[in-house]
Amino acid sequence: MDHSPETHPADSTPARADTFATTRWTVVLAAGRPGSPQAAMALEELCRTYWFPLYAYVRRRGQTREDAEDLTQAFFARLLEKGFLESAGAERGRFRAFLLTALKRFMANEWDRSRTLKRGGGATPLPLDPQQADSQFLAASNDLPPDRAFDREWAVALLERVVIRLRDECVAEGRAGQFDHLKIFLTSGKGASSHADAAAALGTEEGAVRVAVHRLRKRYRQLLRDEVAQTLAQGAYVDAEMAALFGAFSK
Amino acid sequence: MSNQASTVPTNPTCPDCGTPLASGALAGICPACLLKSGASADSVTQAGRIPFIPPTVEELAALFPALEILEFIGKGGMGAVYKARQRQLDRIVALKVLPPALGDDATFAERFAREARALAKLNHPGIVTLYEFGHVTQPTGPLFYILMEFVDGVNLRQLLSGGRISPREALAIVPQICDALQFAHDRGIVHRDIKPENLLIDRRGAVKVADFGLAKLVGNDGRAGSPLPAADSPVESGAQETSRPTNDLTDAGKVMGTPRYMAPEQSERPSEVDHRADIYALGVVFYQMLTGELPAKELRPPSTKVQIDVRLDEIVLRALERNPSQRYAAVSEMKTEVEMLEKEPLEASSKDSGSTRTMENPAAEAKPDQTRFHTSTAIRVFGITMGAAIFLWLFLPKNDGSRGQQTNVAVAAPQTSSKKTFTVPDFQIRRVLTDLDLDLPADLLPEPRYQQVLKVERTPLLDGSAIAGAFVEESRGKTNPPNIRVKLTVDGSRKFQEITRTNLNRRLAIMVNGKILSAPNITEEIKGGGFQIPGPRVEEEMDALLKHLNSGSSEFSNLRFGKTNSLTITNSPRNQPVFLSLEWGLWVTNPPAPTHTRRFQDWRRSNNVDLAGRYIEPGSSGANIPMVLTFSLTLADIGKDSWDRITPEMARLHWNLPDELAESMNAIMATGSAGTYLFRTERDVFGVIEVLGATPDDSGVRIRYKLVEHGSQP
Repeated sequence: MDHSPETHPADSTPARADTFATTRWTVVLAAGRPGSPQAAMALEELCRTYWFPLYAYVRRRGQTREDAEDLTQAFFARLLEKGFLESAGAERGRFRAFLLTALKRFMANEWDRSRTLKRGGGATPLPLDPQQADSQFLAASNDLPPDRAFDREWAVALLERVVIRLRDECVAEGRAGQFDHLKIFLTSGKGASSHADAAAALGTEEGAVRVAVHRLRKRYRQLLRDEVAQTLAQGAYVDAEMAALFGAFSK
Repeated sequence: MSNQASTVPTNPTCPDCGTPLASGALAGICPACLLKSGASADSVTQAGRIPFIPPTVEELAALFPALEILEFIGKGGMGAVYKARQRQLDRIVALKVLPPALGDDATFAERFAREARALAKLNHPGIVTLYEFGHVTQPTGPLFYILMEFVDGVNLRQLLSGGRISPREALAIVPQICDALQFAHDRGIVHRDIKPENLLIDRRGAVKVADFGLAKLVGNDGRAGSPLPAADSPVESGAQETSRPTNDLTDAGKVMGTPRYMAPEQSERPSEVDHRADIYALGVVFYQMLTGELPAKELRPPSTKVQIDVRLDEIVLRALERNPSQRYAAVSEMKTEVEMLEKEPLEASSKDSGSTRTMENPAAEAKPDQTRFHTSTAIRVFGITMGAAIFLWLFLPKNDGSRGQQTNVAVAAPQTSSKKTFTVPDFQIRRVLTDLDLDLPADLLPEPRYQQVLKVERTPLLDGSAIAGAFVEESRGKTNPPNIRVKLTVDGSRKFQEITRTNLNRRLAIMVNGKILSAPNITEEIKGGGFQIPGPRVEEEMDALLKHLNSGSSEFSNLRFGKTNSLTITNSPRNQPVFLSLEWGLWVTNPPAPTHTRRFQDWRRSNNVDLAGRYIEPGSSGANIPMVLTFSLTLADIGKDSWDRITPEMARLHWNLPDELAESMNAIMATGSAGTYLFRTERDVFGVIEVLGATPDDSGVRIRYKLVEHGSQP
């Protein structure tokens, strides 16, 4: 790594990989025609990231494993149908809130297992692995109220996506090893080991580690904000949404 | 089935907050802490900022036995300052210690030494003298320090906080700063952080500039990508040489981190910063001295705020030009003009040439002794911009000249009050020149020594086009070939904006009836980055065009705009093109495209990532400033704020171009090119695209666009 300040900024700034540079939820909403390809793609992308919080919510509401799978799939199928998004009401601004409200409504009014079966024997719009879903749910089980747990799992899903994106960027730049050693510094917890240890592990200078950590954290923040923004109709609410997600972890 | 709780393993919890840890991608990372860490820095730019707690006098005394540390003076982003006495010399000095975090960077010591040596050579009565520099070792790491001249007085910030400085005082202070800056600039040293805190005034009224080059050293001048952990700290504060850590009047209510004195290029194009950034900052300081306020976004001349000699506006506004090339070329020039004011009272100078600016509309007035451009009624202008790559081709009616309407264009010749009037037949907007065969008037041509590097590339000129010739300095000619560029906007406002990087000789000319008429030495009456002549609005033009065409053909009927897509375009990773499918409003990454040009063409063909250019790719330059490389789009600049005024018919008709002109172009729209453009792809997809500007964190460019659709389509 070159530390010279004379280096062109481009050389020292991590490459940016915002392949989803537009706000997906905005695309979904702005399309206005839920059947349009871009809206469908954006919605699918969102659903793929956030299926688990929904699934877990359904489980928490007392559904069996099989029913939860079917219900989640049916819900997504419904979501991807034309016209459904028009029902997005006051929650339009936030995908998280919208999805939970829609799911509740779906569970209360629409879902009928027999009907779902009739309609196509369990359409599977999402590549949902039942085994994985189940074990993930069991691992995540806690005593929180379902809505609270939903938010928390949502946050985890979002963070996972951010961390994966971050890692992918590092891998693309040939710094996979560095990422694995430095990711603990993304949080500033007491449990984190020292820069010196990481430097030793990576065979580099402590100063270089600090710089790398600094960059990684900076990029992480950018990606986090971006990912949060993806679920919002307007980027302006990013801070509020982040606060809301953080609130899910408060005791 | 959901009752397998007994088999659930007990999850580990976060040692910091007790939150259960997740598995998967977040293994080992606490989600709550992660989220907190992501949200904790209130902005991306503040990330990683390490708070600096200045050492106490006692702590310092232990580290500097040769000094008697007398008192703590103040603290800023670039360190803390103490008053001290050199025991041996019995000399009062100022000791500045830099934030310890700086020392974390392995290369800092070397850069510090290099910079300090350069600064030590700045021996000027207007510059705080550097005596000594180095570092002392303390348990937590090296502590870098600078020992320098102690200035017994106040800084300008303190002076300002006492109220507005009288124009007379300002006029006494500014030339001194100019002298000091010129001295440094002559030696290739740019201050980069001129602000009231760094301008010290001793008891005799002598001004001394402090902290030369420190901003660069600690990366506090907006240079992105600096490797220092603390380098993200914005210009929240600087070396406050003698300022007490008390409340700062102008900071009240201001968001910390606002680069108040920073020239635009310091944040936008840090690599291009030169001495003119100091001139800008001095302009801000000057403005503040005169008005008591910082210049607002919508820059108002100082004389509109306070009762001052209106000629001061000229000086201040020129220093505050967004574009460095339109500022004073040297700070000594600024000094000369300031001093001129003192020598020539306003009454005397305002007699000649009627140059006194009116208070109501100062920007519309010309500079003294300079020619003004007038338009009588309207100029039917359509413009083209090349070079930087924004093209506007004008539709060429086949029966040009057959129409009776006339438009008058008046050009005032320089140094005379006579006006020449030309008539331009309506719609005789002809593509006059396509090649290098520019019949430029002699006085528009550069000096012979520039001529050899003059390069004019295929710049089609149209009637009504104005030419802003820009010839670069000789020294830069080799690397930055000069261009003649033309910019006119269709909305009737003719903007003579900065087009090139470094123009010394700027001339304007106008093309009328196929002839270039020059207005020699019309140095720009440009204020606030633009120069506008009100003209007909674009819809009038287009409506008339529509009628003129008598277009009943279905090609132009039943058109509408599709949905508006708003996007942010960011740099693509590792030069990997990412395409925007205009029709879908989605990014296309697969299959990955090769970066090699020829293979890329093959790839486009084989993957049907079509040659119609329905895709634009984010710039892959990796440059700090987000660039958007539009691919295979032909663009027409239609001026800002035209988004809502453009009808689908206009967007469609506009491109009724001869086929040979509809070639593909690369266009680079930097952040600065915010504006609205019509576009046409190779496969005749038409639309309007608006570049809205950079995202707040500068990581991308926000755009929106809409396509023209045929009403018959679903």
